[in-house]
Amino acid sequence: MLFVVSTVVFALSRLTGNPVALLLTEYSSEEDKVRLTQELGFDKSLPEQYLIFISNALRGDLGRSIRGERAPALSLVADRFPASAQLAVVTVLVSLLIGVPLGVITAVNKGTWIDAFGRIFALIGQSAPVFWIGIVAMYVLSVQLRWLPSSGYGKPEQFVLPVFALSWFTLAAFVRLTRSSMIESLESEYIKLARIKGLSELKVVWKHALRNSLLPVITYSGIIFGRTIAGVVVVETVFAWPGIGRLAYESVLGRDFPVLQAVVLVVATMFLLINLSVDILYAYIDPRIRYS
Amino acid sequence: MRLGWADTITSAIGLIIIILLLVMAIFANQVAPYDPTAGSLLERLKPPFWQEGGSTAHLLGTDVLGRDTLSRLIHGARTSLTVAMIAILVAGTFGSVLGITAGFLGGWVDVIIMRIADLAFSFPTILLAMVLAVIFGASFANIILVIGLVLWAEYARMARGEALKIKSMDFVALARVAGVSQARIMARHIFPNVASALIVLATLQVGVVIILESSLSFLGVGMPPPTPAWGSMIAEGRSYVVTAWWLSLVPGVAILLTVLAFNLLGDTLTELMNPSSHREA
Repeated sequence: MLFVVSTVVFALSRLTGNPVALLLTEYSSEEDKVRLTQELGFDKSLPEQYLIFISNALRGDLGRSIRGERAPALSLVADRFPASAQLAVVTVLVSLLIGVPLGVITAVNKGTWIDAFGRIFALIGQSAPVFWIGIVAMYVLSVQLRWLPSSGYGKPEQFVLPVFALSWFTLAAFVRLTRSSMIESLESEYIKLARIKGLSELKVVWKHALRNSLLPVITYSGIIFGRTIAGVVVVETVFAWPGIGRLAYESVLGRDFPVLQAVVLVVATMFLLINLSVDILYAYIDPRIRYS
Repeated sequence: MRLGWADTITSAIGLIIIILLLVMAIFANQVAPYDPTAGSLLERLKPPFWQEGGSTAHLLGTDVLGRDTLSRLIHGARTSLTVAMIAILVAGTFGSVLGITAGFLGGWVDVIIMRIADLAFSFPTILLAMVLAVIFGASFANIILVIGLVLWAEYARMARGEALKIKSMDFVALARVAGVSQARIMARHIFPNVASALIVLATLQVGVVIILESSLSFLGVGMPPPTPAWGSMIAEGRSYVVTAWWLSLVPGVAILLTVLAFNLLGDTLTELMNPSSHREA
């Protein structure tokens, strides 16, 4: 997977014919062009370039930024990575903690106004772009009411707005998934049995039914996490959050291809690891998987 | 299968919004009061009519370059819906052909196609769009390419699942006995039975595409300016949040309503398709 992504990125970067043209402006001198072509190895044949790219990448060398002090691309990404990871993890946690219980409550109260409210709440979250929710929340809560800082990173209160913008969308997915699988669980035989055994309704719903309803939630959490990452890229640009999303955005503006490429590879690696851990978690929660 | 009154009302609202949007998009040139790309700097940053200083000449005010917000909004509907339709048509066609082939033929063809689909699922879409924008420059074709690359996998998955179910049915076996070629069985017998599920998926995906397109335009890697697009309108208004909040608010409401409408309709269609998912309602 990672190999494919890196090959795709490599292929894309060479598609234009002359990648040097990507890095230089039309005002660069001919001399600069020749020097940069040699420095970056673009005077060699394509297969050779590809081997060099892969072997460098394996050693953690993804080239250097073309801006500023020309820092190594990978270390730029590494510097910005923690901020993004924090944002993504807090978002997914908040979404799980609100989304799953809300899904359970709407399923238990199916057909009532509580259900209707929960579903509309989830629908709005899935229908509004995260960056727009972010801007509106910023306008209301920090420009008008002055309750929260409008942007920046570091203090706990600076997490509130970006996490709010991101988690509405993410938790909507958790509400919908939990609701539909809870409805299915609540109609099953083992729940009838649990009720006949005289277990309290609280225990039946929150322990027996929920445990079995979490499977689809976990299956999809990899995809949901992926969408969260996409949201993180956009939200970081709204709130001046110093993460890899903002780095990617800055790289696009500055046409800094090596850094953008490093961001893509790092994010793809994360996807891989997350999907792997979802598979492991899945086997842990559902004992049936072990036998097959 | 009968719908509850709540579902009937919500899907009717969704349908009405969608029809209005389509009319707006198709007749954008006639409906819009001004040229969406021409502005007058004398009339820049005018507030909407309900605000102090606003007038009915520009119902929703004007942007930094003095362009009429309402006109840009109406033409923006055309941009969003065009992108959504073409992207879904392209992705849907590729995805369903590959999915039906995978499900019907099985074996290594199935393994290879679904592996690639898994890959497409986990590719960071927005970053890919950024890469393409840096290499080729922002363009309409890029957007379709990027969105299509991600979307086809979902059609492939669904078409494969449906094809697996249908393939073991008697009428397919009969067609085989009658000597119908494999390609013909897929096109004439499997596809018509998969089509309705695919149409529901397409309805639900219009919302996904519109959000994706607006995110790309917001980041400056979607529709190149001065094309009116809701995402870039929000981005342009962002710097004026304190003084002219409506610039970002209005196009966002447009996105919200549009996506909501397609989601409401799609949800109802899903329930009509799978009565089992909603047995007691």
